[in-house]
Amino acid sequence: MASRVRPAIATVGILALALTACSGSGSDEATDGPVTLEFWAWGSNIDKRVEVWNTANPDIQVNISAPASGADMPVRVLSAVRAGDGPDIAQAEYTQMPTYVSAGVLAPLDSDRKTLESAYSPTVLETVSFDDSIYGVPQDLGPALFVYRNDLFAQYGLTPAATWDDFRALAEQVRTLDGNRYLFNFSSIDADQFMGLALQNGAEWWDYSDEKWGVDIDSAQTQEVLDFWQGMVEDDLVSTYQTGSPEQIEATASGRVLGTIAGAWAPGPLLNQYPDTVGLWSASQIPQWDTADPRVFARGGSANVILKESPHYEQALEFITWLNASDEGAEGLVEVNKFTGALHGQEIDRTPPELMPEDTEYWPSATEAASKLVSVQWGPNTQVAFTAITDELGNAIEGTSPWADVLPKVQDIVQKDLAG
Amino acid sequence: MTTPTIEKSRARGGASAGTGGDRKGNDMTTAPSTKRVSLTRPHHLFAWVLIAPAIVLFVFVFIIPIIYSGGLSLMGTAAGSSAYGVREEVFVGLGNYAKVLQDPTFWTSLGNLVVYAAFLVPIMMLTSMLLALLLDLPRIGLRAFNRMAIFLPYGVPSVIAALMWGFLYVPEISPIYQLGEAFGLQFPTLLRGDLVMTAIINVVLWGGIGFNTIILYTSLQSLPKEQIDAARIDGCNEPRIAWYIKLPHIVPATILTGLFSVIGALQVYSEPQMLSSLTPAISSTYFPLMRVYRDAFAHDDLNSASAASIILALATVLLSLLVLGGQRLAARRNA
Amino acid sequence: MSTTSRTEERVHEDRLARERLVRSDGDRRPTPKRSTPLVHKLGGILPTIVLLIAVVYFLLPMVWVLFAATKSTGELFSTSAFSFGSSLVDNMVALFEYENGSFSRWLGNSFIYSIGGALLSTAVSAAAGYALALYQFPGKKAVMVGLLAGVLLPTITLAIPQYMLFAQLNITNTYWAVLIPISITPFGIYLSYVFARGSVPQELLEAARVDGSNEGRTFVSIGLPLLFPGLVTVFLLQFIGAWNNFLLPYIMQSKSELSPITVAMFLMLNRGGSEPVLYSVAIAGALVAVIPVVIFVLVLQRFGRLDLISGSLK
Repeated sequence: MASRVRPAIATVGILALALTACSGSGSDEATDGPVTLEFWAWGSNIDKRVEVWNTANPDIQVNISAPASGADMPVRVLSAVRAGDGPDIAQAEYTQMPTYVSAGVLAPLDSDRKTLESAYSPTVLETVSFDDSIYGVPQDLGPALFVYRNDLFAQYGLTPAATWDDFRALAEQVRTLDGNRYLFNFSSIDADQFMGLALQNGAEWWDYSDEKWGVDIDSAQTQEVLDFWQGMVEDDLVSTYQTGSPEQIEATASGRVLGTIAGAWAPGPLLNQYPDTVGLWSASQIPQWDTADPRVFARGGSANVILKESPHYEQALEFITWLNASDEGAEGLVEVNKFTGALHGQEIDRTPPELMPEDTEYWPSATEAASKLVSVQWGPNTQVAFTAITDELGNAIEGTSPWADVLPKVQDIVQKDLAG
Repeated sequence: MTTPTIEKSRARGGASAGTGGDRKGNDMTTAPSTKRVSLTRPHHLFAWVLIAPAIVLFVFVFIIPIIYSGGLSLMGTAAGSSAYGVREEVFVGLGNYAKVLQDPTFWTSLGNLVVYAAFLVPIMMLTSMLLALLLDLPRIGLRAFNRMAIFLPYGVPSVIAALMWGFLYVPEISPIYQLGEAFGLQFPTLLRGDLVMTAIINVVLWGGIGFNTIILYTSLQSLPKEQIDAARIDGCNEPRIAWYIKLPHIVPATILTGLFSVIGALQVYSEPQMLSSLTPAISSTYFPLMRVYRDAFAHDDLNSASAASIILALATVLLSLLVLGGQRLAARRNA
Repeated sequence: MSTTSRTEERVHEDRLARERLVRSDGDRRPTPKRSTPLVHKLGGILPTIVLLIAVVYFLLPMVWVLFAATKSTGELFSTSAFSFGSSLVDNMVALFEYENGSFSRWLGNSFIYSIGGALLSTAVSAAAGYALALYQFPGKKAVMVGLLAGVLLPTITLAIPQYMLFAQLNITNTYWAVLIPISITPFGIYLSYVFARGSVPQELLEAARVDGSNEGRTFVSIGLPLLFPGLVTVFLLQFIGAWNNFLLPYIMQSKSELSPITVAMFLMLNRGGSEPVLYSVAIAGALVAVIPVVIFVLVLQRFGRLDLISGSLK
């Protein structure tokens, strides 16, 4: 995986070229004049917040761009940094934080520790802290909720499931309805969701102790979750369209799939994707294995990080603290439909989301879900695990390889990748 | 300027355009003992001036990156001892090659590639030949329009092609499935299971047939009119003309475009990559180059990606040498 | 066998009967006298039908885009494929307002990469192809083999090292980062070589030499004009290649103001991380992106340049 000294080899190549091409010298030194910060982010609506900042701060201009999708962003940033071409600030999903940290490209933000500690709950700050240093300013959270079509639930007299056993029973009931309906779509591409489901059941996929990474994906807890979904798929109780494919969107738009598990951010994307369904959705807490000890996992959610190589550390920190941690920033994020990591944003009395104009319970349930978030240690190669899960779950769903192979294979791939 | 002799030589060149200018070129270089006037040094100099930009760019864009890639393929990373296991670069020799070759998914992806090429190339070439011959028939209506329609998809980027077909593959909203239903036919879902190969091949065929058809059609245009007219007067019908006169004429061009199709097929990645976001049936290692893409762009494992691509490049070179060698052998036997 | 021939006979008679009724067949060529009427008929209609089916296949996705671009996200997934929706204007507005109105910029970038790249690579290919075809010089074979071996290398394998190299030279995030790599294409050089061999007679160069014309002037005043039709073809192929190129700009450019539409559309469809897939906007984008290609092909069709692809002349 990551390394920092590859330019050395490139330099050898360039020496060979010395006669035909001349290399320009880096001229990006910090000056007293106005600076421009490069900010790589894929999230929607953040550009609106950047505009607000830019108008108020003519001396620190921020240029936001999206050179890669969320999943590909870390690699994009890492190869750019290696080439001396990286941004000042990047958006990083919490799951991606260890990838950056173990690549050694992030600047610690401890100089702002006091501000951050007052703006965030300790659990949230923990997800961006490594070896006692803070490496990111949390932006939004994605505590998972079960989001469902309340019109269809009412029409067929269904109620959201409290436990996973209920969930299976409910799925069976939905299959008996007219119109070839499914309760839920289980897509192999939602690897983060599968990992979340395993974490909810007490699995811990990575741990870092004695200066060593350990991998424990092929565990009893994960297997239990996998067995559950194997049953659901094999008994045709869930559909298996690829999330984001026309098939999946059609199935949801036509009401053939009744619900989904999404982060608290769900209303925004759902509104964009299904604009004709305003008022037809509600949310409930996700099903539990043990209702006495409710646990919620996160889907998505990201922080802003500063790259070590940035010559504008001070300005970058000032900007991302304003954007995410300040009261003004948190209020702004709420305005653009984020469920903020900052406490202030969670405590604001907000109007129901546009998608669910009547649902005054939505934001309170999101806050409730956030309070039950399990604490997680993500690994330095989360993306490798995600691709492996997507591949192997896909193979199992398509019947190209047995379900029993999924976890051993993923475990093997992730472990080998870590060993280098 | 255009004297009859020039016309003739142009027509000759045209006729041999696909014929294997390559072979001729080799002949010319290996046996420069023809009656050509030997050139003096200034002429050499001018040739080098003309070719210099290509060589400089080639070194810059191909050679140095290849060397660099080779270097990367010998390196690896290991978790370092510094805080939080920051990775360090180490020399691993041929370790990455061994890793790739020992990985069963690599061999699966090669298997997929063979199946893909075995279906794609013959279908592509046969369809292109058929369409070219049809376009070349007398009394075909809307010839120009047909030609354009067939060629057009070649200009559509694969991201857009995958988007279009992605929708046309969904039974609930696809006009193809709706039409089938109207006739009582239930087409299978192409994006699932083993049929996904069909879905990929279709997208590539859709974009590629036009290019090959136009090349073959053009090659047909260079067939002397008198030859065909003579055949007609002799009472040959169109299918016989196509079979006995036109087809042999385009064989060389077909071999050339076929060779390029094979090379293109071995390098497939864009279409399946774009389609893979629509189905669980295309894994991240479905084709070898998808694996390279994944290692380089999602896993940040340039070392593995470099090793895999060098293995593939070597395999392609070897295959091409075999094809060329076989061709030469056949030619010698015929001679 | 026998059944088919019987059917053929029947068709044959049928055909004769009809021919008696309709004498004016609109045949422009003098029909060969002994050609059998059956084949004659099939020769006219069957091929047309087969071609028609092919054309429907090739145009179907395009026609689909035409209809789909008029639909709102809701309509896209609920109405029949070949019905018009109500949102063409909305989609176009959304498309051109997407990311602060970047789409027109991306479209412009696509043109810069395609036209600039095609011009550069045609020039490089023409010079190299001409030299390789018409000059004997030491090392020629090595150059030929080296350049042609480039065809065998998948561009994707070179993209990352190219990126690292270009970044060291500070040319990433400039138009050159994309234009330089696409200006050298082994296939283009090969085509130019074939054209030059086919269309520029060696004798002509020798005659020019005897007349005292220097090599440079011969190239410009005799070589290039003869090569021109072939170079148009190289240009066309390079244009389309650059228009469709995704990987190179994706790797080289991190600023979206330098992205071409392929990259922009890929990111539109693959935003990931809890973002919706903007199909209606992307489809509108697909429509707009295909229009220039249609015009380009039409223009070339009009000037008959497509016929030059294999380098042959009528």
